[in-house]
Amino acid sequence: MILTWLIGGPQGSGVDTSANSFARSCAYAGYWVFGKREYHSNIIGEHSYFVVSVSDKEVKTFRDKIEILTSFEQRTLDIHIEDVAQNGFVICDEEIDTSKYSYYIDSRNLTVVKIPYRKIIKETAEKFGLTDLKKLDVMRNSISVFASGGVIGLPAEFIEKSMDYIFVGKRRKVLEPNRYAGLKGYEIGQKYSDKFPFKLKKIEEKQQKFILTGTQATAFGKIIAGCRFQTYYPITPATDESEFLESLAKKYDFVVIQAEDEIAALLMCIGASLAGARAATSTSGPGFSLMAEGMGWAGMNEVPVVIINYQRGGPSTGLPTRHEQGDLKFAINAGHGEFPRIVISPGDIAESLYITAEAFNFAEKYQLPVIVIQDKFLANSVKTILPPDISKFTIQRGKLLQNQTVDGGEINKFKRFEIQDNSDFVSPRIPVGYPGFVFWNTGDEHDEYGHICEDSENRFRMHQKRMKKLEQILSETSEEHKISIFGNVKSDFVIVSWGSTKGSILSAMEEFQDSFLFVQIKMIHPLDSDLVKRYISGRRKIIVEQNYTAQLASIITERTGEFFDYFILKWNGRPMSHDDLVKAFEQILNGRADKKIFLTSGK
Amino acid sequence: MLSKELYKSDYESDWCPGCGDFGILQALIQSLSELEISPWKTVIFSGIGCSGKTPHYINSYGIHTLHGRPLPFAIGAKMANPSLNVIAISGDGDAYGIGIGHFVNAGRRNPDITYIVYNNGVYGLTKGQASPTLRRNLQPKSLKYPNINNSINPIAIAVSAGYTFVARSFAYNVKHLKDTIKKAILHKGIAFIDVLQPCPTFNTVDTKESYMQRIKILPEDHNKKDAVEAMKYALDVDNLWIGIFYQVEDQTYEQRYSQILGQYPKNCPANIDMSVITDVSDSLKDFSS
Repeated sequence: MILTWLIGGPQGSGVDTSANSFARSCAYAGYWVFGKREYHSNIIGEHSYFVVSVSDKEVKTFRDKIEILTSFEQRTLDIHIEDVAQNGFVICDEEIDTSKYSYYIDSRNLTVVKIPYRKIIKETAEKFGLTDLKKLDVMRNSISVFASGGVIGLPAEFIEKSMDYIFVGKRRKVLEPNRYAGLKGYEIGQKYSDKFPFKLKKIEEKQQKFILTGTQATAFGKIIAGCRFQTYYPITPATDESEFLESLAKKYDFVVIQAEDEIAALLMCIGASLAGARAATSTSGPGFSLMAEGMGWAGMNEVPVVIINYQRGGPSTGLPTRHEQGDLKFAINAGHGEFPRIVISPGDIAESLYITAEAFNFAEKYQLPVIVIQDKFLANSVKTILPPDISKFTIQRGKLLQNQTVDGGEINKFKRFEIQDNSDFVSPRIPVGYPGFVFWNTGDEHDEYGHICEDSENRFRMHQKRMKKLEQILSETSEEHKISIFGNVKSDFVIVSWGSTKGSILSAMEEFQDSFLFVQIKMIHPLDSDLVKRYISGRRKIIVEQNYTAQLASIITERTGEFFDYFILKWNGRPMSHDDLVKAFEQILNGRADKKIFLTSGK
Repeated sequence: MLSKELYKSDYESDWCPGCGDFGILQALIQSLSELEISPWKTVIFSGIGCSGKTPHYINSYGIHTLHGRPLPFAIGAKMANPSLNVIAISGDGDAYGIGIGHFVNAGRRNPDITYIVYNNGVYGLTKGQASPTLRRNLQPKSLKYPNINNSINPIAIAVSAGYTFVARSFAYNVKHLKDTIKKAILHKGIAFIDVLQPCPTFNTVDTKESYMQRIKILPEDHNKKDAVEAMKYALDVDNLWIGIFYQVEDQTYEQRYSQILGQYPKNCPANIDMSVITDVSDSLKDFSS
C-alpha cells in the first residue's frame, strides 16, 4: 500500500513541524516514509507545503497524486485541490468554504472532513487555563496531524510519541494542551476512517530504521570519516548541515567556523588540510561560484579538501529554495586552467552518508579537491533508511606521513611534489609543522619542493604529473564507486541519470517490470567512459536530469561517442516525482514519446 | 638563539635592489632566530605580489596563497592545529584592497597569529598602480594622472575591527621592526604590523628619505590600552607614527572554541585519532524510528 499526505500553510505557521510529526508517527508504527518539503525564499507568510508518502515497503520518492490534503487555510486548498486523487480526503477548517471545489469533490468522490479548529482551541484553552489565544493558533497543526491519524487508522500512541519527541525545551509545557486538542481532532478523523481504503495498523516485525534528512546524513558521513573541521557561509539549502554539526560540536570536538564569505570558507579548509586535518565546506551554487579560485589553488598544490555543493535553481540568485541539477559542468570545470578533481554524486539520502565519508578517502589518497554534488531535494527531504552499514568503511589517508618525533636540529627540505618514475602520480605528503622538515606551496607553477619555477621542462612534467592522477583514479577505483546498475541488463532501453532523480526513477521502474536498465553515474568526473559505454552501447538511451541543457548527456556523448535517443528534462524548480516518470516511461515504451520530454508538474 | 643561517632558504630572491622588502625579510628572520622558534614550527602564509615571494626566501613552511587571501588560509591552519606558529604576510593591495574583508573579519576572531603588511602605496609586481594607501593627488611614475582615490587608514581600521595588537614600523629600521615582530609573535591574539616599505622602482614619491622625514616614534608613556588614544595617533596622518598603537588582552579564537568544544585544543582537528571509526550510534538514537 502507499498513501500520500500533503499539508500546506503560510511559512512560519508550523507546516514543517506538522509534517515531521506525521512522518515520524508513521515511522514509529513501522512504516517507511519519504517527505518532500517546498517553501519560498521568505520567512513568514508565503505558501509552503510538505508532502509525505507512506508505505509498508521502502518509499524512494514522493508522488504528485495525494490521498489526503490537509490545511487550515484556504490558499493551500486553492493550490492543491486539483492533485487530490479519486476517493481522496480533504481535512480542513470548518470555517473554510469548500463549495468552490465542488467540481473536484463531486467528480473525484472526495471526502471532506471539517474540523472545528477554533472551537477545539477555545475548549483546550479553557481546560488548561491558557489565555493567549493568538499563540494557541499553532495548535491547529497538532489537530491536523491527529485528525489525519484518525482517518487512516494510525494508533494515536504513535502520534503522541512523535509529539513527545518534537515538543522539547520551551515547547514542553504545551505538550499536554496539544495532545488534548489533538485527540479531539483524532476522534473526528476516526468517524471517517471507514471511508479510507486501508488502516495503518502497527507493523509487528519492525526493522530498525532511521529517519533523516539529506543534510543530516551528510553530516554523519563527515563525522564517521574523521572530519572535524567544517566552514560555511549561510546559504539555502546548505546551512542546515553546518548548524546540525554545530549542535554536535561539543560531543565530537568538531570545529565549525562561520566564515565571512565563501571565499574564506574554502580557503580556511585548505589551510586546515595543510595542517593535517580532514576539512570540508558545504554550500550551494552562488557560494560554489565564489570558490572557483580556491579550488584551483587546491588543485595546483595537491591539497585534499571536500566541498559539498547542494545545487539549487540557478543561475545567479536563481531559485534559492527550489531544486535543480544545473551546476554539473561547472563543478567539473570550475577554476581557470586545468587541474585534477573528483566530482561524485549521491543518489539518495543513505548514499549521501556513504559517499560523503568516502569523499575524504579520495581527497587524501589523490591529494585533490573532491566535490560531492548534491541538491535541494536531497538536502531537505526526509526519509526512513536502514541503519547505515559502515562495517566495510575504512579511513584511508593515502601517502600522509604522521607522528614523527623530532631529533636533533637538522632541517631538511621535503619534496612535497616529488615526481616518481612510475605510474604513481601521488607524492608523499606531510602536514605543515611536521618536525625536521620544511616545504613550500605556491599557486605558481613550482618545482618538487614547491618553489616557484617557470622552467618549461619542469612545467611539462609537473602539469602532467597532476593531470595523470585522473587516469590513476580510474584505474584504481572499483566499479561500485563509479556507477550503480539496476533493472534488466537484457533490456533494449537504458536510463542514465545522476543524483537525486534515482528515487523517482527506481520507483517508476517498478511499474514496468523488467523493461528498463538503469545506470546511475556516481563518479561523474573522472568518467570511466569504457565502463559507461559497455552498459549503454547498443540500447535505446534515455537521459533523465533536472537541467535545461542535459549536462550529463553531453558529457557522456563527449566521452563515449554515444548519443541519447530520449531526453527527460525538468527545470521548473521542482523535483521529478514518481508520477512524472511513470508517464514519461510509458510514452517511451509505447513509442509515443517525443525525443525531448519536458516535465512541468509541481507547485 | 637559533642560527639565522638555519632560516635562510637557498632560493634566490628576485626583489629589486634597494627594495624595502629586504629589510623586512631580515627583521623576520632575526626575530624567529632570537625567539628560538624552530623553522619547522613556523608556517608563513603570503598573498600575491612582491611581498608574496617572502616565504620562498625563508627556510620554514611557506605557503604562497592567493591575492588578498593569506588570512583565511592562516586561520584555518591555526584552528586545525593551534600549536603552529602562524605568520601571515601581505602587501598593502593584498591586505587593504582585495583582502579587506578578511582583514576586518580576522579582527573579529582574534586568532593567535601575526599579520605583517608591506605597505608601499603601489602594486609593485604589476608595475606600479595605485594601492589603497596611496594618498590622493600623488602621481608616482606609473600613474597616467594624479591619484583620484583617497587613501584608507589601516591602523584605525584595525583598532576598530578588534585587533588586539596594532603596530607600525619601517622597513629600514630593522631593529625597530625586529623588536616589533618579536612582540607581535609573543602577543596572545592577532597582532598586526603595518610596515612602511619604500618601493624604489615604482613609488617615486614615498622614497626612503621622505619616509624618514615624516616618521615619528610613539612616545614611551603612550597608553597602549586606550583605543581612543590609539585612534588619535592613527588619525594624525600628518605624522607617520611608528610603534605599538594598541595592545590589549582578549580571548583568542582558540580559547573561545575551547569553551564550546569538549577537548580543544588537545583534540584539535589535526590531532584526531583516525585509527578507529567514530561511533555515531549515540547521536543516531535521536533519529531512530
